[in-house]
Amino acid sequence: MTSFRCAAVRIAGPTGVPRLLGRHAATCLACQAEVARNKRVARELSGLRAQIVDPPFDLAARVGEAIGLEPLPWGARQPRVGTAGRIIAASAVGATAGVLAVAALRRRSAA
Amino acid sequence: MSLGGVQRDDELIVSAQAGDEAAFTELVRRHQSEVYTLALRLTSDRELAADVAQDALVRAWRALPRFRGDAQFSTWLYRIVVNVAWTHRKRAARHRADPLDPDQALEADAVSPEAAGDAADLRPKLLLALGQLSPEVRAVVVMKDVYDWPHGDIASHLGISVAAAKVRLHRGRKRLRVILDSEGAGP
Repeated sequence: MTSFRCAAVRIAGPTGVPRLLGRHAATCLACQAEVARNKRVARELSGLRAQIVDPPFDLAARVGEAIGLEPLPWGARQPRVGTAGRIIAASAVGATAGVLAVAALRRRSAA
Repeated sequence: MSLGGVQRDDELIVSAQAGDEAAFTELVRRHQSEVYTLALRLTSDRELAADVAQDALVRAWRALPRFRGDAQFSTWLYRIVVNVAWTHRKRAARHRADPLDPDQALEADAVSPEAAGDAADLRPKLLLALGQLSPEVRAVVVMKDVYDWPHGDIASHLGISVAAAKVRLHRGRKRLRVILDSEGAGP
C-alpha cells in the first residue's frame, strides 16, 4: 500500500527525496525503486551529451555559402588575387628579370 | 602551434578573426556535429535543427570579432545555438498556437508507478519523451540535465528568472517520468 510518505517522495520526484523523508525512503522498497528510476533517467539524460548526431551532409557547405555572400563584419572585404592573377604576376616578374638579365649581358659585352 | 600540419582551434580562430573564411569553414567542419546535436536536442525536429545550426554558425561568423576566448569556442557556440533556437521558437510561436503551455501541460497526466519496461531501450524512448515536452520546458531540461548549465545561465538565455527556470526544470523532469511510465519505459 502506498503511504502518505511514499506519495510525498513521488511528488518530490527527480528533484530528490525531501530531507524529512530520508529515513523513510531508506527503508521503503517502493521509494527506493522510485529514486532509482529517477536516477536512471537523470543518468540517461546526462549521457545524451556524448551521443553526437551527424548533421546534414551539406550543413558546412550551406554555412560557407552564406558567409561567402556576406561582407566581412570587420569592414570592407579585401580584394583577393585569384590563381590567374598569381600566374600573371609571376609571369610579369619573370619577364622583368629576363629583360634585366639580357640588358646586363649586353652592357657587359659592349664594355 | 599546429601539430603535424593540423591547426588548433585557437589558431583557426585568430585566422578567421582576420577574415580568413577557409579557417572559419574548418572550424565549422570541426564543430558542426556538436552544434547540430544541441540544436536537435532543443528543437526535437531535424529540419528545424538544421536551420538553427546554420543560422547559429552564420551568426558566429558575424560575432567572431567579439570572441575574446574567455570561454571555450564550443561553449561560445552553444550559447549562440540556444539564442538562435529561442529566436526560431518565438518566431514560430507568432505564426501558430502551441497546444502545450509550458506551465500547464505537466499536470495533464497521472503517474503510474507500477509501469515498468525494458531499461535497455530507455534512451530512444527518452528522446521521444523529450520531443513531447513543450519547447520552453525542453530547453531547460536539455540545458541543465544534458549540458549541465548553471541555473543562472539558463535563466538569462531564456529571459526568465532563476526561480522560473528551476520550476520548469522540476516540471520537465516530472513530465519526462510521466511520459516514460505511461509508455512502459520506466527505468
